[in-house]
Amino acid sequence: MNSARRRPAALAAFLALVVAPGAVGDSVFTPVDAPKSTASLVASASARVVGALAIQKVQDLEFGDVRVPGGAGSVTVRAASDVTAARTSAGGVVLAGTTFSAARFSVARSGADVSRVEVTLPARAILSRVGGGETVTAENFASTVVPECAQASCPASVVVGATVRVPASPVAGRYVGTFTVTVNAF
Amino acid sequence: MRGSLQAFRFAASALLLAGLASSAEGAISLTKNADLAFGDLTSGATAGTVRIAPNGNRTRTGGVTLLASPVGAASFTVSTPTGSRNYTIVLPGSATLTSGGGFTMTVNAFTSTPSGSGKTNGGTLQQTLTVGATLQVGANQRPGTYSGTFLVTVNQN
Repeated sequence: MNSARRRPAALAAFLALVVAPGAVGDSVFTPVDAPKSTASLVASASARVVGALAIQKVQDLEFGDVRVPGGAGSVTVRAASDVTAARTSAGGVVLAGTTFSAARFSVARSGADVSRVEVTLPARAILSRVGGGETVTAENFASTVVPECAQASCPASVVVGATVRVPASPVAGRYVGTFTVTVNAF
Repeated sequence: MRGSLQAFRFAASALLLAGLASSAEGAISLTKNADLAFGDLTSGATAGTVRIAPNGNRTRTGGVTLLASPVGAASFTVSTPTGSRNYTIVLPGSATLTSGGGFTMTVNAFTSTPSGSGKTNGGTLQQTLTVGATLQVGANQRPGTYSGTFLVTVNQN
């Protein structure tokens, strides 16, 4: 008889526990459900190592021969994938001869494609007359990136052209200078 | 009288099962939002490191050059559905990344935010756990795509 009385009391306690969570929240649940628990998860980590970038000059930028009979002007070599595709003059400059070329650099990197290439060009470069101090200025540098193939590790070419400003009545001679091209490949 | 007691007992056992089920659901859990990405880099003539901080910032030392690429810390959501709870975080000592060619790099110095221990938010019952680490890049490390795994554990107190 005693045990029969005790049982309903225990059942009533259970009912209170189950009803409470929805209404009161976790505080009622805690004595029953406060186990230490653990969760683990595997995550991945990754990195890509690409080989050092190798840039090689294949061809200098050659504006070729010009005559300046009619005042100041300019000569432009375009940055076309065919380096000898386009040379134009403006103002008093007249093109002479047929030899000219855009600059060409090969860009290669082991372990990665170089299809995405960023080229940084100078704003201008100074060309000085060989054997004298006279100068002309090259500006409007432009570049074209030419992928050589679509596989990893294959090289790309960077073609660079520019415009030389020629003053009226320049001192005749060969004018030379250097310019720096910075290439970032991804 | 006896009959009604039996009915009571049956109802109680059903309710007890329901209570146990919620207890399992109440355990701490982890879900992954993002993996740890060190991104693209070049190795140099000297060894170096790439560190991803728990906030995702990437820094380098030694002969390593960083290339623009997607990078980020690993990110997890810690959930304690029974309420705001304190928990401790266990990070690995090191992990190994392997390339397709079988070359390896070690990842160590794992760090997290929060660090050491955390507490889930009282409203959402969740907390974001981000994990960074340091990649050890060898001198002239072989080019390739390296990957590996690591284990993150949280313990509800």
